Amino acid sequence: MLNLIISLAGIILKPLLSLFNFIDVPAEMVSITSAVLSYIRSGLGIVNFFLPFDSIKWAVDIFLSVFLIEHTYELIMWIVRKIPLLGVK
Amino acid sequence: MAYAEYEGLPNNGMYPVYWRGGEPLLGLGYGDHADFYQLGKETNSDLYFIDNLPSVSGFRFMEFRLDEGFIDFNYAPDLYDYYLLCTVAFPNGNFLPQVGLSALMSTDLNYSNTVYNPFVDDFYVYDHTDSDSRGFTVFAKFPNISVSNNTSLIGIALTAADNNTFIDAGVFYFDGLIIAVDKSVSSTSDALAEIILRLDDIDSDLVSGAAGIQSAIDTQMQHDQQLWNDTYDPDPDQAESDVGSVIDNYNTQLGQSLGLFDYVSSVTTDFVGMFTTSPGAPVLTFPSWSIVISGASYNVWAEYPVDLSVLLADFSELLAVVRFALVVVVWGAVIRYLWGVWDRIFGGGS
Repeated sequence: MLNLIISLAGIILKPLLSLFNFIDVPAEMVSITSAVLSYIRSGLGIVNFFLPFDSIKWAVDIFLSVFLIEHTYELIMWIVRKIPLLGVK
Repeated sequence: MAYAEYEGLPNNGMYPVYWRGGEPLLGLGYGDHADFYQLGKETNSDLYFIDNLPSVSGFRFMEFRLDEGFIDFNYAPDLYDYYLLCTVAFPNGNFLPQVGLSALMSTDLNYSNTVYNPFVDDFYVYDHTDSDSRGFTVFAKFPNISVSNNTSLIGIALTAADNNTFIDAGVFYFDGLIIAVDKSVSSTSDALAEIILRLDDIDSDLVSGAAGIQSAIDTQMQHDQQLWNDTYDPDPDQAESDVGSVIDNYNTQLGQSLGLFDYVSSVTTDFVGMFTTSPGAPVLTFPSWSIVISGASYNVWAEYPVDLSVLLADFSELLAVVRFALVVVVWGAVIRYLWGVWDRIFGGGS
């Protein structure tokens, strides 16, 4: 039964997947990105040693939340101001 | 040792009961002064082993018969002493080997039912319980029972005593013999002594054989159960694993189709994951340096990692101060930022 379901899912999904065919990322880009991420990971280990993330986790969460809300609000208002009919200044 | 098999009814909630009879016991020869009659087996029509029979009184759980198809047997108590030798093994079973014995003598539809107590003379129960199986061998002397007609039909039922429980009895092995000893032979006691002497060997033979049967049946039942499960009732963990692998497969295909977009998503996930998972060890790695002269590479110095964790041992207090100061700085910065946001929104530009 399970194999049947999986086979049916494959029949449905494969045509959908074939619709997308975006370009692949060059291997050099993948290599560079991996190297950069590894450096960041190593650096974070050192930063965490002097500045424990557990101690500032809430601070970062609060900062990101407020930052996101504020700039989302500004973005929405910027769009709204572009609509003359609304007359929002 | 070959076995005949009767397969019980695998009723719902009840154990399938496999009845196994054997050929005449190995190790017992036919002497001049004793004859051996192989007993046939019959199942009790009420024989069902439920998970737990909490308390039964005189539960007759097996029956031997001399019947058609076996050696012609004439009951002649005036000429012979009759002995019953039967062994019951419960491989992997949990059974209290406490039994009674009743003899049902067929005499023109008139049955004489005698129940023997295992704790009286002429009734021996050999318990050969070990780690793999449980069982017992009964060696009992038949009393003289008056019959109106000699007959080839004789039945012996083994009966469990009160408060015995059958738990996971599974497979039974049993075998039985009637031994008829000629009273006119002076060496009757020698024959009985020989029979008793060999009981232990017979027991171990039967028990090991029964254990082998149990193992084979268990293997087969597990195989059948696995087939059933694979077909109709897959193991949830296995099903989850299968579905997971299929999803992973399609995710891979989707990633290949989405190309650049999937890669950006993957890198973003990795980047965020670095903050949500436990950071690595605080190791500062000084890179190696090599120079190339005339096409040959010379390593000036190798990569040198420094584990900052050693600071915890020697400068723990200083480190605590540094950590506290940095945490205060971060929290202060956030509070200052929040203050600024509040001032921008609600401060009216003051």
